Amino acid sequence: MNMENQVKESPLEKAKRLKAEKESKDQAKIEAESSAKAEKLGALNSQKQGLENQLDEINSKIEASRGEAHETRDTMQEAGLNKDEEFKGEYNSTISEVAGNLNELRNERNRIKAELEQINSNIENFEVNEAISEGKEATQEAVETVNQENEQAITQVENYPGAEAGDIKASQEIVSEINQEVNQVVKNSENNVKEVSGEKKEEKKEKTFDFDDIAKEITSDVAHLLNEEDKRLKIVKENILKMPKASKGDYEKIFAEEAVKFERRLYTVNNLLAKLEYPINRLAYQGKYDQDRDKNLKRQEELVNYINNIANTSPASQKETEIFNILREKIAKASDKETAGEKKEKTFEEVRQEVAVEVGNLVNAERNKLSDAELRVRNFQGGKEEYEKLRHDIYGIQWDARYLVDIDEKLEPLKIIATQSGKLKEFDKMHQDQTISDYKNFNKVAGELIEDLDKKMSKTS
Amino acid sequence: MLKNQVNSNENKVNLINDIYNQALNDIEKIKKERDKKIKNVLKEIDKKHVAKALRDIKNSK
Repeated sequence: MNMENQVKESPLEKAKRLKAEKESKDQAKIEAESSAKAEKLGALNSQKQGLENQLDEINSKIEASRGEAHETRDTMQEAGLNKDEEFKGEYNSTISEVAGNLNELRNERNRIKAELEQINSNIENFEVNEAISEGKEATQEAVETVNQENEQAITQVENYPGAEAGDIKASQEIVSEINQEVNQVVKNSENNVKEVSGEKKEEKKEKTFDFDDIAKEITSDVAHLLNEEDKRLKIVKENILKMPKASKGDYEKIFAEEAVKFERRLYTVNNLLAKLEYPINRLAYQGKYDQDRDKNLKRQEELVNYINNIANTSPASQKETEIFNILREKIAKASDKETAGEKKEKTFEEVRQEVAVEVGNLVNAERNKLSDAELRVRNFQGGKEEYEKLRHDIYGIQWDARYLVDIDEKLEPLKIIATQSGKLKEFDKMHQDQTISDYKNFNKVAGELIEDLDKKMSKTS
Repeated sequence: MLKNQVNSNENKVNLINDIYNQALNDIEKIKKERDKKIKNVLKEIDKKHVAKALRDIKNSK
């Protein structure tokens, strides 16, 4: 624009030119900010990709290492090294070595997962974090301006003609008061921002594992169980004492039933206590609370001792001992003549056949569930909800196969008759039955399915 | 509670921006208050200065 044109520019033209200049400047600023944000987000995504690659790599290493560990163990076990005194030491040290290698890799995987989780959280909360960062920067700039102006204000008073020491002191007090007010404003804003941005963390906190909560729940459940059992045993004891013409067989039957109920109660208590085992290990697996794992396992052990102590000294336990003593006495006194009439009941073999069918049906049902889970894992496309549900279902199958609670329930009638007829050895053989052995193997298969599912989830998330 | 008003990241960002904007406005108000108080100090100095000058003139007569 030459001088002649500048002179000719009307006020309206000038206004339009200035407006355009301002808009162009604002637009450039917005674009620069947007570009900087995109660059930051790109860097985070690139970090995420890098960690995902590392995770794939470590998963492959773990897979290979686990295969090798199994092969190593199987090779030595096939040769019977684990049972041979001469080789037992070397067997144990080799097993420790492969287990150590595997654990190192798993720890590394946990570290990568934790880092990945942090990056994912940063990506998820990117806009929020940016808003906080920008807000903090703007507030900080304003505070610095206030500080500079405060110094200028005091200097202005100091240099003002006629200013005395009292005036300078008054200005310093004003500035000090101002600083306090500004600091309070900044503090309040930071607290409010923390409250807003902290919401997500609080949601997560609710979902994470709390040892004390679960321990309290278990203690309460065990107390309830013992209380109910105490009420039941009171009635059982009264009934035994009231039985007018009971035979030796009647007493033996009650004895066997109570023995089975006693064992079942132990199972229930153990199952309740095992509620802690899964979350402790699961969190360690996810890389969370890893540092607390040993501490939590120690606390779990203490809780197990505490609960067992309660269970063994409870009124229910005392009543049980009394009942067994009464029954032993009654059985000893009852005449053998009376027992002759009891032989109309089913034989051990008849009950064994019935129980075998029921066990077979149960194992088939579980096998179907496992096949269904395998199919779901194969078709798994990602998604947190399906992942959690599927993992829960598979874990349920694994749990059943590991603790055999349902199987033991099915075997219960056989155990009663085995106790009555002195065939406990034959009964124990049921546990070596092929169907039940197959069922126990579901534990391992389910464990592998969970690992496959986790791998798929890591790749899709 | 502030956190109850937050349903999404967008809401969070808006709320965070509001909080910081409010803080900047509050700081501006505090600054204005400071400037007003400093001006009063200067006015007082002026008053004292003028009074002293008048006293000096009166005494010199």
